[in-house]
Amino acid sequence: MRSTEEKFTAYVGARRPALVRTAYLLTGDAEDAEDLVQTALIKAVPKWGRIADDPEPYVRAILARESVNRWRRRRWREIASAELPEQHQPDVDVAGRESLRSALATLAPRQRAVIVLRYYEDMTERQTAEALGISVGTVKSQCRDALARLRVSDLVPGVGAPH
Amino acid sequence: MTEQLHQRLADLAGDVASPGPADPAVLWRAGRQRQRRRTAAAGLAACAVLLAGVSGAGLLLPSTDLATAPSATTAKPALPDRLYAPSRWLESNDDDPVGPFAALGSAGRGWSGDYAYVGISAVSSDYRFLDLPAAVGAGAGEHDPVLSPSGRFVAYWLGGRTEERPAEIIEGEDPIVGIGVYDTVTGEAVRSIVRTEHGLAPGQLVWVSQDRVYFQASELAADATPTSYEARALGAGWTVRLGDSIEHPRELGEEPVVLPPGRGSGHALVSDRRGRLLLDTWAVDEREAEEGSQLVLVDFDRGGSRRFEVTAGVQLSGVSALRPDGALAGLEDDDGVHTIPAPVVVSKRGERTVVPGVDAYGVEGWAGPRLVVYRVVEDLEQDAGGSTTLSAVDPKTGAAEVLVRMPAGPGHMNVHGYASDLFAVPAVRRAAPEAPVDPRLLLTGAGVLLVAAVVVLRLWRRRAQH
Repeated sequence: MRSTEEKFTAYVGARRPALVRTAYLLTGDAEDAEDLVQTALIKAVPKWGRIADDPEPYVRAILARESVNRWRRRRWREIASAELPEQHQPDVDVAGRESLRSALATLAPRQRAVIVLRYYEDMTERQTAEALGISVGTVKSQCRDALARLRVSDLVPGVGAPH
Repeated sequence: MTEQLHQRLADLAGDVASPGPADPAVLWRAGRQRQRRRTAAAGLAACAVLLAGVSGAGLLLPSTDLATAPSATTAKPALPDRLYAPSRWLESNDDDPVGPFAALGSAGRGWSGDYAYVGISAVSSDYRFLDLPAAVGAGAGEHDPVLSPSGRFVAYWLGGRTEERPAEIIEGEDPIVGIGVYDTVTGEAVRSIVRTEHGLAPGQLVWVSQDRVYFQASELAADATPTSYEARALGAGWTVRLGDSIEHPRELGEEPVVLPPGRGSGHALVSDRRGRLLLDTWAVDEREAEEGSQLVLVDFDRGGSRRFEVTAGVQLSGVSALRPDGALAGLEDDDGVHTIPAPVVVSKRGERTVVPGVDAYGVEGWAGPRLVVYRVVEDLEQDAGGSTTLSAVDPKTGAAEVLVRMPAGPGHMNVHGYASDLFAVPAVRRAAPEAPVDPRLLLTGAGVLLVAAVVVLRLWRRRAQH
């Protein structure tokens, strides 16, 4: 039987890239994404004994909440920039992804987290609510507002509320 | 449509470069350290909150009855109608003087519980421990300090340095070199020292009037011990006026007691607290020794003295009271035939009256011209042995009025004396004195909480590790 630490090591090795991708959607910045994942994993260690069998929901919940909280902590000492930093974009649909990234950046942190958890992580409304520590009603309203913005920006044509 | 958004988000997420290598062991250690820090911080915070709670609870404990707090009581000095066994953690009178005192007692103090003197305020419900400067023989009984008639001053035996090696007659204490007089209102003290080679053997210490205290002592030989010593009497006693500290030569005589020719003073028996003192004297000339002891009434204020006759059968030393007109109240000297001697009053003309119906075991003084103040045992037939009071008694009828009830219930306090001027003033109701929180309870509570916190934290950590 593996020890708790060995389980943690195995999880980090297997899931860290996926976590960084989610974090990238949440933060919009590659370095912030790695930092966010590291923080989430460190915070998960004390609970690992209890979540080792299925750590994913707990870690993703920390990830989402930490991204919202970080924004809260930073917003008073960072000056928002209208232009996003340049990123290396090797894909062909560079313009489409850049538009989506810019559009996500206009969302409030919690709205962005709701969109990422609902449409990228494919969580249900209830799972999203539990991960963010908010009510299902709040998830619905945040999701509706976020999608409205995305439609206004014509980035996701035809996308309505998820079913 | 949902799949379309999911795909576009996945495409965007795929833009991020593969994360650099990360050592899970480093993350694990960082996580454990963070856990320990938070656990320790939480434990400390919990202890701080609990200690603050315990301390706060202590501070919030009712300490005095506001209805009878000092500010609510009359400033006129009076005896309290009841005494209480004091807390071991009373303040010192030096820190917050509450004089004048109505009574002077002794009780256990602090961690050790050693006996210390306690002053009971005459103007409030406060009690205070006395830190008499350089006092010796605290709690020993035979060298107890004495309270002045007004309750303003406390006279006590003073320790200090002798001219040569001191003779130790009180174990572990400095040799006695004189007396001190402590002001209960200001907390200050004055000294009166006798220069001797080996120290003094204490004799009597008696307040003669409001500002005059009489003390008599003998000079010790070099080989004196606590159980066996010979002392050379220093002759007549003398008085000390309050004011500047003074130092006497060994020969004394600065203010000699005026005695009849050929008489030397033995014991001071009783004072009327108005300047006159009854002394047991002896013949200085050995050829006249057959005359034996002779009672002499010395008048310190007017000077002079006169022979004093007392009908036999009255104990005088320590258990009697002298009225200004010369009448004596005392206890019947029956050579121990009765458990409790009968109280008697002897008039100036020698008429002797036995006070009916009073179980008295001590005499404190006169309350005006008619009433005698006794220490009385009430309800002697009860299994508990009865209670004790200070009562004013009409010697003709035995009618008694309780002035002060002694401490009852748990705790204990010895009462050494009262401010006798207050016997003629109606006693007033006073609340129990403040009972400061016992620091042992606080420490014990804090210790229990700390141990509990450590146990909880250990369980918490163990559970987190598994």
